[in-house]
Amino acid sequence: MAITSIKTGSSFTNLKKYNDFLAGNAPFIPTDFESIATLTAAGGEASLTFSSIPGTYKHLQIRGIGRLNGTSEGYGYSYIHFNGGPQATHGLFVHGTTVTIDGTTSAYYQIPNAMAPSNAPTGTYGALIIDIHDYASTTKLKTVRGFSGYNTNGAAATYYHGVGLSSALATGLGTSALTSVQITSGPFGEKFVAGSTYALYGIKG
Amino acid sequence: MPNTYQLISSNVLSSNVASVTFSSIPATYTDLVMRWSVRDSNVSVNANNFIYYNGNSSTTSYSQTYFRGGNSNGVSSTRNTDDNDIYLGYNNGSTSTSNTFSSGELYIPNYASTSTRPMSSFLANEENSTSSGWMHINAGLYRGTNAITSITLTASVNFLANSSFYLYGISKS
Repeated sequence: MAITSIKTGSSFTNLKKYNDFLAGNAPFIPTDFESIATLTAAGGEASLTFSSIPGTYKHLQIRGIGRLNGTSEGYGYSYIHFNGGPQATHGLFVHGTTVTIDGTTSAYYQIPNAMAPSNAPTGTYGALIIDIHDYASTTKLKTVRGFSGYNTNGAAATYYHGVGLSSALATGLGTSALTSVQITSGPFGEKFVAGSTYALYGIKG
Repeated sequence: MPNTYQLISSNVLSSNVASVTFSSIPATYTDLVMRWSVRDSNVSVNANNFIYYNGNSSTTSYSQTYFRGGNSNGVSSTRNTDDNDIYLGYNNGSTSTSNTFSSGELYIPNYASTSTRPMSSFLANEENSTSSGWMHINAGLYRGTNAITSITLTASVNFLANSSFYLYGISKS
């Protein structure tokens, strides 16, 4: 509805005059950190995929929690494909009290301590944050950084709990823009349990 | 998640430079985040990367503890109490895999305070190799008495063209 005129009357007395259209309100400044999509497992999925990722941001960040339902512990890793290709991947992590550093060229980007296995205490999930700088560049190979961890609330032994740093070079992607990220339950046949959730954010630049 | 996360400034290099400075940083945010993607002209697989604030590179202005690992190079940690800058770790040097750029993030809470200010950083560089690639995390402290108004990153030799730097401000709700 358009306002075509306002006339002086009893409803328009003692009005405060403003010199701008904000009329005393704080300006709205949109954030440069935006949610793109969120995936939540219903239970039983072998993979969760962010597809058709727009190239309109400068960087991507994924935050998530995960737990597996299989009988293998899966070494506590999350396994990720970028556009379906392989990657060189490195991890620096603690399992319990043992510090490990590893490296491999794999079908997956391997993120340590990011998944709670099925024999972990009830209700525990692994957590991860990964960052992909200049993901839409067509001149750079994509280097990915990850930070992850999960805790067993005191339970010890073979739950692959701990904290980890990780990195990957998305070699299979080459210098193409990244348009999809597939988070898989890994090569051991497990599935995601319900409530495993991954959120994709875009960061403007 | 912060409801305000604002780009303050960015710099995507069109030619090689020895350092990059974000200056005149406004004091209107709560924290700062810097993200960068860098390749260095140093004829090496790995090239050191440092920062300092406010043009201050005196030897007692910074202290830091860092932890890093590379697959064929093991794991190490270092603590320094009096440094003239903050060591961010290794960027990709000119002999690393073509088109690889390191990926780093620096977080500075309370940057506009006039008392000491902590920082944390996480830098990773990767190679198309199972035996190379570094992860480096740092907890540092700036002991100057002025608010942070500029940040300078210095290359080992030169940051190469297409290296990119982004500075964001985060405000509390």
